[in-house]
Amino acid sequence: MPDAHTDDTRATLAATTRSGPGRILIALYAIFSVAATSRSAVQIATRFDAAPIAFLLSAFAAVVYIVGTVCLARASVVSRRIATISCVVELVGVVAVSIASYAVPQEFPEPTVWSHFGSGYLFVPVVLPIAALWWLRRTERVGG
Amino acid sequence: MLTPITVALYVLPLVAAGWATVKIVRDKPLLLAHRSDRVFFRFLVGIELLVIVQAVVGFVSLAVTDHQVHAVTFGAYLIGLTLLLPLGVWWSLGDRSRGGTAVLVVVTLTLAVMVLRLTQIWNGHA
Repeated sequence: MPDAHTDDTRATLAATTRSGPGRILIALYAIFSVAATSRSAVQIATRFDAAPIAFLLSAFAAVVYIVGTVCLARASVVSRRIATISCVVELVGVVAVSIASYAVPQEFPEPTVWSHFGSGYLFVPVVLPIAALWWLRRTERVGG
Repeated sequence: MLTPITVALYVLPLVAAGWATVKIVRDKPLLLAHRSDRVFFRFLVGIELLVIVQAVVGFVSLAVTDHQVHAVTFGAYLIGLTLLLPLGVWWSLGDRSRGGTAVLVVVTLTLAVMVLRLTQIWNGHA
């Protein structure tokens, strides 16, 4: 196969991933990256002892959102694969932290991005990984 | 800190979000060739100017106030707010389909929510 064809395929894959619903997803991931990063930075810097577990989970969420944003926006074959993994981690994280925030509320005196299924963020945190996984799956065969 | 600017910044982004939603429902792309879309972009520029004025007023208020405000968070919101619309509009214009217009809905709603949070932070909720 000539290289030009694969380059075209890659460009189409990237363009398709970044368009339509993908456009919205990347915007939301970017917003949550900034929100989670700044929130956890302030929490950890100013009152880490108040809720160390919750604040570290906020920081972890921030990393996951950054990885999601970068990998969805790059939209190469490899980065889409990383995005898929990070979305699964994100989904597991949201569900686990949400259950934990109900089960052991004393460890979550202050809300994190992922506690209570992201109720403080209009439940976007629980919808986001599901929507991203759906979109990655839907655009899988593009240009192939 | 609840100035007319802040109140305007609750309302105007919601108007913009509604405007963009109508464009999505009617499946009309945003094109600068359209007169109504140029009006819409001027409206967004107007909102951004208000956001910048709010940042200036906010930082001045922060400097002169004697009540307890979480200064770092408040400052981060003021700066973050000024970047939100320019970046959001740039990202939106890269895709003139419904997806791109929906980015404007997301960004303007985020703006309104952030201004609400900004007021809460000013009133002492970290």
